[in-house]
Amino acid sequence: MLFKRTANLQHNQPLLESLPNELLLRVLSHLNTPDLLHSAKLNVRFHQLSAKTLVTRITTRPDSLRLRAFFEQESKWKFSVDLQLVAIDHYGRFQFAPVDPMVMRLFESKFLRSPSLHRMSIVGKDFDGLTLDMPENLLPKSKSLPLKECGQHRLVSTYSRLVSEMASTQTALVYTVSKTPNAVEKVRSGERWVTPVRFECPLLFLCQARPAMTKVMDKLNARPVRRGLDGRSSTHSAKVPMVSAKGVIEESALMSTGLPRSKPTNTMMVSSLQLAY
Amino acid sequence: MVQLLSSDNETFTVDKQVAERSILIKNMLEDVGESDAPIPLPNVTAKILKKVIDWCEHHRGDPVSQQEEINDRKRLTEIDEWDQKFMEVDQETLFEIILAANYLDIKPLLDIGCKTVANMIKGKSPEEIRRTFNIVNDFTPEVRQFGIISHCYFLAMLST
Repeated sequence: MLFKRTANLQHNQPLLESLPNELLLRVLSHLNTPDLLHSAKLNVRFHQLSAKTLVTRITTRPDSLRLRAFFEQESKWKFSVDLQLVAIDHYGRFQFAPVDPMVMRLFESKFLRSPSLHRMSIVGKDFDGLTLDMPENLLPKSKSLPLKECGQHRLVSTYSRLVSEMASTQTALVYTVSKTPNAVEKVRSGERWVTPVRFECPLLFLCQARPAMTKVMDKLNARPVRRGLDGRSSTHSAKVPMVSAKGVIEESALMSTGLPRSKPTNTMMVSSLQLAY
Repeated sequence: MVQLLSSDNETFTVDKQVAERSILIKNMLEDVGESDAPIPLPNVTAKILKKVIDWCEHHRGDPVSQQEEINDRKRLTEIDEWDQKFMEVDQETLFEIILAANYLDIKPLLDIGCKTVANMIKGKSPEEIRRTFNIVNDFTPEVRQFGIISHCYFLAMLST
């Protein structure tokens, strides 16, 4: 009787946690990145150790985890940019910055809706496949970007109950807005050059679980989710080409040759988006 | 031949080549020189020491690779068949093997143990992992509110 009870007790001991940090780190280093994000939610100790493993991994292999941010205005001008971990701030929050610097040409106008950051996905070498228990889009709702004033903006979003381990999650997008340089012809009035600078979020923001309902729907539809890296770190809308060598906007050339404007745009966007998902 | 003494005073006689899979024992032998006295291993029980010796016997011919830490993605969680069988033990034994491998400084065995645990975590939801390993969720209200987890730790971590 006594023997049985002790045997039972031993089975319920937190054996994994009895390992010293050094050995737990060794265990965690064998996990792939999605599993590492899961283990960050176990408890505080695992959170810290997983964070350490994750940061070490990202610093040695930057392609193991990146954020891909999608911006758009009026479903017409679309941009995506890859962000990578650059620092951890005083509050222990992860700071991501664009892999390649990118300028988005967006518009401040009474007739147009403000541009928005409508999607944020994790991409990386390990994030490929159907079985992942994380949402394709980490943002519960899109966030519009005020462009009225030039200079640096810091757009803070607070989400409640995004991750069950946290009551509220705060993220911040830092971007700069400037007027079109004089040397460059504007596409239309109210043009603003927007540069994403930084995205800040706690580690747990990256550890979101996919809602149960979506999981069922995905199983039924067997929709493949692609999150692998595709070699490109930013896309820009074909509608508004970047400045050509002469400083003249290529779109005007496009218009003068009378090419159908929407067709190439769509195919190009679709191909780049398919690659992105 | 080398004699090893477990924490519960059981003596094992093994080939020197087998015993030297353990860097700890290898260094001890080098320091002490030839001696008939058994080497005391106060951190390892007879049950676990027997398992470890079994493993060393099987892997006696393996080349001793000095360079580990090569982060090859391919072999991240791959374990060869014999080792998989070897690791089919209850959790308690598994963790004791890991601790023993760490103490005895047998890197390949330690790696196999850690990979086995990693495989038990793989593909599971946090709730399933907590159940498997009896992990208590101890996120504090502070974390729940702000997601702040000791920023000092993060700063220290980045500087190392």
